[in-house]
Amino acid sequence: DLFGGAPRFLTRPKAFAVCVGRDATLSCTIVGNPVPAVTWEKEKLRLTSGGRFKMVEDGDVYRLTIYDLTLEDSGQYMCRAKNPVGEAYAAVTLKVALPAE
Amino acid sequence: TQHLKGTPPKIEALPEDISIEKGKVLTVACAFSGDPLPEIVWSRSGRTLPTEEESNRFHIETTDDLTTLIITSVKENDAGAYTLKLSNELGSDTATVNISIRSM
Repeated sequence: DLFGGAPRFLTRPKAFAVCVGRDATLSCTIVGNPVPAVTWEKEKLRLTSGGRFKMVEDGDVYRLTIYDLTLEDSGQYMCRAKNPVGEAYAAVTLKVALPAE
Repeated sequence: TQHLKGTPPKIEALPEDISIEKGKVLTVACAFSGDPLPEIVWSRSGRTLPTEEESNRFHIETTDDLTTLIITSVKENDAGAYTLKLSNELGSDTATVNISIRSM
């Protein structure tokens, strides 16, 4: 096995719902043995749960939810998964738009 | 005039700067789009990966919308800029990821 338990993305981070005032969820599936620790960053700043951000793990599925979106939430979000065998990185671009009339 | 059907390749999001410890496995996944399916080339210093001498440590896995660079047993001199280039008959797109090696 190429990975030897190293973390890897089975599905890439994807963004759902992207209108100002709505909530967005970035979701991906990551496997690894041991189970990896997953963190999210935006523009090199680590995001933590609390305030408008919430991180949830549901089995292999990892989700970052951003509540009450503003235009400034647009940008590149990086997901990092780490365990003792290795690290996996993937990013997703979020484009927050004004609500359609 | 004849119009080509499809869409030019587009790299959705490639991390800019990442780091890894020596000896570990690194995977970098990058989502893309393009129709027809773009040709995908990962390279470093103008050399297409995996190079012949490093084919045991460097691997590229690609599906319909995701291409992944995998480096096993990371070495100190793996640090550097890696370029992903996508191309099809409608155009091309390029992005670079900088990989640095952390000391344990």
